[in-house]
Amino acid sequence: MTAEDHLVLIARSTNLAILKTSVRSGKHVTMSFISINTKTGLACFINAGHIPPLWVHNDLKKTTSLMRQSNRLGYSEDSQFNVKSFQMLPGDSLCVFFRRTN
Amino acid sequence: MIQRAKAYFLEKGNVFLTQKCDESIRMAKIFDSNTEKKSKKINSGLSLKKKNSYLNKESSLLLNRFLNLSAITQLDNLMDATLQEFYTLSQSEHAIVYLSHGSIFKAYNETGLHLDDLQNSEHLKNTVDTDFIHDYMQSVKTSPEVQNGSDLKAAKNNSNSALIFAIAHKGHISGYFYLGHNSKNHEFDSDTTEIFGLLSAQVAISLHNISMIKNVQEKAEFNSEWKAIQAAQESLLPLRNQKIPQMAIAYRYYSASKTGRDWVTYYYNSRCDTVYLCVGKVTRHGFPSALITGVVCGAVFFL
Repeated sequence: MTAEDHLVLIARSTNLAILKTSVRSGKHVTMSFISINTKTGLACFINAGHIPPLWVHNDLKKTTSLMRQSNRLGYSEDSQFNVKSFQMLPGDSLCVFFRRTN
Repeated sequence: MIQRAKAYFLEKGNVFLTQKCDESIRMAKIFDSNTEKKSKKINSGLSLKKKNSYLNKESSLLLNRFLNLSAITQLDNLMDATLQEFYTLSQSEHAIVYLSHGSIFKAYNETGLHLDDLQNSEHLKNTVDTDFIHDYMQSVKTSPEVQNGSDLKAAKNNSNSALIFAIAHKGHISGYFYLGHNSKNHEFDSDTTEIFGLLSAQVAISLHNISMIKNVQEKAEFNSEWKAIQAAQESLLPLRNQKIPQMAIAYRYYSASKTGRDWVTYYYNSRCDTVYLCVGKVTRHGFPSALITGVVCGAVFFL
């Protein structure tokens, strides 16, 4: 199983767990799932309706917003989770947020 | 002494205690005027020494009664003590206290009767002047004194064998005291009635204090339960300073409300050299959202 497959499996299972709970509570969850291979720097992510993470490039002195969106967790049993892969380099950073602040 | 306390609280800006001092001063003034009246009454036939000793004794007894009532912080104890005071002072045969239950007043405690007897309407009619009680309660409801928050006067029934007065503080009526005597010849004198008015005002303040203490206690319990929930939620967050090769991870977590609806975790799988990071937020605030973070945490960790 690849890292991408593993990430989709985590997202789907969490989606099902929240679906079962949200029948009573009516709540959804937004979430970013990220996996990074510490040896190769290959990273992949699923963004389930969450604020996009920021990828800070060390050498290029710029940031990239990881925009690929999927449904919120707990929204539907049939939600598809799109995985995006990217190559991180030494010195790069990822910033993930809970929410925007004013 | 109360004047000095008032000046102190005024200086400290404590409005609540300053008001309490004002009330105490007002009561002391009324009490003084009552004492003067009494002194006139007993002036004839008693030596000056005896008169002073009589007045001092009576003053200290009343002061003790005030202090005792002020110090009680349990409703049952307050009602027991007050009923006993009224029962003894008035030498009535029975005394009943009615307390408010929402919009109606129910008999809460009694002396010289049994609460069970109060359910028996026949027995009740023979012992307690229920029409008198009902009429007084109705008249108090619409009285201008209640609207103004001023003192309510006690009322006697036609035969002077029953006395009723409200437990009122700043226009809020917490209940009523009813004192009755089976003998039609028994009379409640006006001095005793005035003292009952003062004591019932003190009871109203004590009742107010009891409810405030109860609120503070409930709030403290509520806060400690919230703290337990917060602690449980914080335990779902990952340990800081975990060592991951080639990588440093840091997080900062501030909850916008008492319980957070956000959650973060990361996990390093050394077999495939991969770090998994999850950051999430439950829609809307509140306790249910806090519970959902627990569900998410369980689902992710299971995998």
